[in-house]
Amino acid sequence: MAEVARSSASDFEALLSPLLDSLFGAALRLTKNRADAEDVVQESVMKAWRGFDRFQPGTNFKAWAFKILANTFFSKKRSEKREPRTAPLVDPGDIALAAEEVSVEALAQLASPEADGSPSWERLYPALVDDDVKQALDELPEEYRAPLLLSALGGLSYKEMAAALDVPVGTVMSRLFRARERVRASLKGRDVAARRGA
Amino acid sequence: MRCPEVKAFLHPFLDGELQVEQSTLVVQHLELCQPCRDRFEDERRLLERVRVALAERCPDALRAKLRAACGAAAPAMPLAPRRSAIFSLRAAASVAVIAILFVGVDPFCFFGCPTVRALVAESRDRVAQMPLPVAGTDANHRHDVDVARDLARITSMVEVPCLCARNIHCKGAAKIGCCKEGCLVIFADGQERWISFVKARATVHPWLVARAGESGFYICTQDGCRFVGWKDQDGSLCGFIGDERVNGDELLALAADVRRGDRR
Repeated sequence: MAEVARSSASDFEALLSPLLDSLFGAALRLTKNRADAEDVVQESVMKAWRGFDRFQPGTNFKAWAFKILANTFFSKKRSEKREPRTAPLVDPGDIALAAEEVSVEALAQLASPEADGSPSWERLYPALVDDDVKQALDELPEEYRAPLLLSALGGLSYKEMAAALDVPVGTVMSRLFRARERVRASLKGRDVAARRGA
Repeated sequence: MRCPEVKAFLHPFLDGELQVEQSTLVVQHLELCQPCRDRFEDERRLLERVRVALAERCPDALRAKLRAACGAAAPAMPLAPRRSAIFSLRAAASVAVIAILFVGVDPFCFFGCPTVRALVAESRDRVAQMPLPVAGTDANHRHDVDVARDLARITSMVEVPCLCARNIHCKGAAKIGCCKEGCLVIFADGQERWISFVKARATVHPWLVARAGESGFYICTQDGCRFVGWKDQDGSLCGFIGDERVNGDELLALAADVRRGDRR
């Protein structure tokens, strides 16, 4: 029994260890605060460890870990709010498709004509530093920031993000799309400002 | 596929969510349409910029704390028997399609590009000497570290009689070596190209399957390319498995096996 316990502990560590940087990165951008991020990571890891027997080997451990992280963050946040949960952010443009398959028409709707301008922005915004990108992310509402982080840091699929955030796949897609558009707009503005200031 | 559809599919394409057939249609369109290609490249760079900016290091103290906490806590139940991983062909194929598509587009050119061996040795040294990136440091610096690390992971190169991709029309013999993050291609004339996969995706899926439409295709794993296929002048498909030249049917059969994850 002790042998088994040891091997599962080492399995867990082997799976988790390479993810800690990205889990911490996601927690940091969710909480916007190092101390809180450490708390969230610690709590998530302990939850994952206690529930490790429920993890199916061979399935995506990364998606599982990020799901726990997202759950931990949002439930912590809810419990810290004095008020009961306020009305969820409703985006009139949200295309909440319950179906797994997403039609071309729905996707075409997402690609708003606004985004149609010529790709005029400078390559990679050379005038900006990483902190500008972080600030642009921090400005996003949580509902938008979370999928962006899960995608960029966790590499989760739309389906995995939908499960992690408990929303339909279509909602994940539209939020992710909008999050990226907002970040792009924000960076564009910062880039112009930085050049003007320079 | 037309521009509006391709535009709508760009994010799912970048995220590796399209099916192979859809991906192929997107790639075919991108090959022909400069505005869409620009848009795609913009989107890809934006995601890359965000990804790079988000990179953080988990504090060592926290790591130590977690290790101690897990050691002290009640052990989890024994693990169930391992099952084979379910491999998402769609995602991997999309990633690789992106890679092969952009083999000819503004790849990183770096270090003056001597031989691979020298390059790998140099990049290992560079990585060893570089301080680990910390929050708020310059993105370019971190990017250098990433590229150097990627290169250091390329352990072997495979020689192929020709490599076909966008902007490279069967450009003679080439060597190709891959790691999880991308492939390094060295042509007979000494020219080198680094093909970067979209990193977040590539690390999730160990098999990278590439198909380059009209020109040819190869299948690579994180420890190197197993074989490269291409279309001969008469249009028939052929390729290599190891050192052995095989015909199109054998190649496709192996490709199907690889997709199912039967072979390593």
